[in-house]
Amino acid sequence: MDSFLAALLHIIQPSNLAAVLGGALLGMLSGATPGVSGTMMVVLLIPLTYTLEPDTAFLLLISVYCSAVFSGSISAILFRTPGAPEAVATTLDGYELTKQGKPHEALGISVYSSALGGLLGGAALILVAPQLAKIALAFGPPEYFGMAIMGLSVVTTLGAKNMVKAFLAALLGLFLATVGIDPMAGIPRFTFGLPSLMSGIDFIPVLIGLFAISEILRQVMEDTSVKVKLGKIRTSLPSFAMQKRLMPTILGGSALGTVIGILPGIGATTAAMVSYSEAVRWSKTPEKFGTGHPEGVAAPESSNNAAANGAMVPLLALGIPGSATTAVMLGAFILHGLKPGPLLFTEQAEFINTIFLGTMIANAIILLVAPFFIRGFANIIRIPYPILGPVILVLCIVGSYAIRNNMMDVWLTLGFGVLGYILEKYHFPLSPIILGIVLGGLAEQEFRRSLIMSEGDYAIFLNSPIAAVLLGVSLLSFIAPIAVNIYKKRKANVAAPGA
Amino acid sequence: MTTKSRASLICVLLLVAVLVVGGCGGGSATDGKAKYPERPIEGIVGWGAGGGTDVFARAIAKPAGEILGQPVAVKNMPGSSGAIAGDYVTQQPADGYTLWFMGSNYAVNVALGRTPHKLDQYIPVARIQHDTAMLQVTKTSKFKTIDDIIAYAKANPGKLKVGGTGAASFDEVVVALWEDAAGIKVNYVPYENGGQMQAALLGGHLDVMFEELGPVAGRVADGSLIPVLAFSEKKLEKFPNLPVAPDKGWNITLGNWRGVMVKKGTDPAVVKKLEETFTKAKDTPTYKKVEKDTYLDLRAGYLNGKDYGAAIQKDIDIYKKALTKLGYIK
Repeated sequence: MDSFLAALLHIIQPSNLAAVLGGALLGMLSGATPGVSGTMMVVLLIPLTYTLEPDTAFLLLISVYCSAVFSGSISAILFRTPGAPEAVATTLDGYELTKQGKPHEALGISVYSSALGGLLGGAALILVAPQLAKIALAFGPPEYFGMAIMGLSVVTTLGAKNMVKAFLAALLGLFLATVGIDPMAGIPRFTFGLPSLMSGIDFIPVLIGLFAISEILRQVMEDTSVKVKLGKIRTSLPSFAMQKRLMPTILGGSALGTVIGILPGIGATTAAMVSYSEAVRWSKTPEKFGTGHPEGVAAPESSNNAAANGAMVPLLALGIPGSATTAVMLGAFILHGLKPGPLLFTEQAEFINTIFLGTMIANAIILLVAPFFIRGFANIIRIPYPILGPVILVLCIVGSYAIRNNMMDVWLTLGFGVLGYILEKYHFPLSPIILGIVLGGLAEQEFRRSLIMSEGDYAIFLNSPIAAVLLGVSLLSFIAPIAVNIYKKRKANVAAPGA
Repeated sequence: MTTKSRASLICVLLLVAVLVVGGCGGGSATDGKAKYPERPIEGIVGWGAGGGTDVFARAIAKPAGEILGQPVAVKNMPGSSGAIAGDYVTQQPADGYTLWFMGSNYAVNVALGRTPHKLDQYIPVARIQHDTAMLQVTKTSKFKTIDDIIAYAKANPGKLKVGGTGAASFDEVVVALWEDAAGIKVNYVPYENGGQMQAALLGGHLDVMFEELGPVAGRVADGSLIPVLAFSEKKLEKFPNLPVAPDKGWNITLGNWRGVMVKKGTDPAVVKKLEETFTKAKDTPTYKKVEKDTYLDLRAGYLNGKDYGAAIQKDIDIYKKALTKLGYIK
C-alpha cells in the first residue's frame, strides 16, 4: 500500500501529469487518423524518451497506447474507416448508428465504454496482475485453439438471416488468413509467386478496403443525395437509463478483454472481436446486432481498452509482450535498463504501481477530453461528400501504404474495396469475413501446434479441461441456431402442407 | 446529384487515387557524384518496429548519422523474412543513400530460394553483431543440464519438445544441426514469435527453448529461466559455467548476426566511407550501451565488408545443406 501511495504522489508531479495528458492527446490523434497506429506513435516517441526519467517515459508511452486504442473508434463510427485495427468490431454497429443520424449516441457510448473498460481493466491489474499472469501460462496450444473456435462459432448467430452467405463470408475470411508463408511448415501458400504476398495478407488493408473504400464507392454510386440530418454534434455521455442498460455488456466486455489481453501473444483486436461475438451470443436480441445496436458498440469498446491494459501484465510480470505495441514497449524497457519479470514487481513496486495508476488516469482523461476532441473531429462529417469522400480516400490509401511501406497493401485495399462493395450489394454480411481473418490464423496455427506436440493424437483437445469446455460450448452454439432454423422450417411445412 | 456531376465526382475520385498511388510508389531521384553524403540517408529494415533487427538498426543509425553528418532514417518494410526489404534495396539507385540493415535471415532466404537476389547483387559493408543462441529450460524443469536433456532424448526419440521461432528458419536449422551432431531426434515446435514461445516454456508446454539471451534477460537474471547450452566457440565471460557446444564435441556455433549491405554498383569510395563510419559507430558509447543492455556483447560480432561477405556465403552453404536434409529444398 505504501508503494501505492508513493506511486500516486509520483503521478501528480507536474512533469508526469503532463506526460499522461500529452500522451493521451497524441494517442487520440494517431488513433483517429487511419494509417497512423498507436504502435507507430510509440515507436516514434521512444527515442525522445531516452532523456526522460523512466516513469515519466512510460507514463507517456502508456497513455499514447491506451488512448489510441480508444480513438480508432471515432473514424470507425463517423466514416466507417477504422482508425486502428482494434476498432474494427466497432464499425459494425457504430457506423449504422451514424447512418441513422445518431453519431453522437455512438460516440458517447464509445467514450463511456472505453473509459469504463480501461478503468476496470486497470483496477484488475493493480489487484491481481502477477497471479493472473501465472494463470495465463496454463493456456497452451489446445486452449488457444478452443478460444479461437469459440469466437468463430458465433458465425451461425451472426448469419441468422442467411446462413449460407454468412458461411461463405466466414470461409473467405479463413481463406485470406491462409495466404502467405505457412508458419508451421515454411511453405508459401496462395502467393502466386508474388514476393509481397509471402508474408500474408495484412489485416488492415482488408479492413480499410472492405469497410471504408466500399463505403466511398457506395456513396458515390448510389447514395448521392447525401443524407444524414445532423443536429449539433455533442458527445453527450449516454443517458442514465442507457448506462444502466449497457452495464452488463460493459462488465462482460471488460472482463473478457482483461483475460484475453493477459494471454500472451493475443492483442486488443482479437479481444474486441471475441467480445463482440460473445455479446451477440448472450444477447436476447442477437438479430439487432449489425443494425446500430448500442451493445454492439459497448462490447468491443470496453473490451479493447481492458485488453490494452491486460497486455501490460505479461509484459511486466513475465517480460512477454502480448501485442504489437507492448512488443515495442519491451524494447523500450530494456533500453531504459529495466528488466521486466517478477523481480520488477518486488524491487520496483513503486514504478509498477505508477504505471498501473497511469493507465487508469489515462482512461479517465479519455472520459474528460474525448468529448471536446470528438466535437472538433465530428464536425468534419458536415463537409459535403464530394470533398470529404476524396479526402477519406487519400487517407485510406496513404494509411494502407504506411503500415509496411508496401505498394501491394495499397492494391489490396483498393481490390477489397471493390469486393466489399459487390458483397454488400448482394447482402453478404462483412462481419464473418473479419471474424475469419482475425481468428483464422490463430485457430490454424494452434490446431497444428497442438497436433505437433501430441504427435498427431487428437485426444489432446479433450485431455485439457479448458479446451474441452471451450470446444463443447462452441459446438453447441454453432449447432443451436442451425437446429432452430431447421425446426422452424419443419413446423412451417407441417402447418402449411403442400405450400 | 445529376449524372454529370456524379460523373465528375467519379473522375475526381479516380484522379485523386491515381495521384496518391503514384506518390506512394515513387523513388528518389539522384544527381551526379557530389560529396557523399549531402542529404539524409535511408536505412531499410525488413522487420517490424521493436524487433531485434529494428532495435539494432535504430541503435547504430543514430551514431552513424552523427559521424556522416547526415541523419540515417530507419524505415520499416516488414514482410517475407526481410525479402521484401532486400528487393526494395535492389530497386533503389546504387548511390549509398539506401542502406540495408539485415541479418542471418537473408542467408536463410537465399538458401531457400525465397529471394531472387543473390549475394553478388549487394556489397556487404560490415557485420556489427553476432548474437549467441542458447538452449534454455525453466527453473522447475526436470532437466538441469544439457546431459540430462541428451539422456532423455536418447531414451525417448522424438519426444523432447523443443520450441523455436519459425519453420524453415534459422532456429530450425540450428536445432536440426544439433540433433545430427548429438545423434538424437527431437520434436521441433515452431512459434510465430518469441513471446508466445517463452510463455509456452514457462507454462510447461515445452521442454526446451531455443532462444537468445537478450529477449529473456530479466527471467534469466531472476533465475526462472536457465540456459543449459550456448552455441558459441568459446566460454562466455558472463556465464563461465555454461557449457558451449564444442565442449560436447558439437561443432555448431551459428548465431544470428546483423550488419549492413548496400546495392551492387555503389561507388567504392562511398562503400569505404560507410565501412569506416560503421566501424566507428559500433564503438560509440550510445551503441555500446544498447549492445550491453540487450546482451549482444557476449561475443565479438564485428567483421569488415570483405570478411562479412565470406561469412554470409559460408552460412548460405550451411543452411542449404541443412534445409535440403530437412526436406525444405527439393
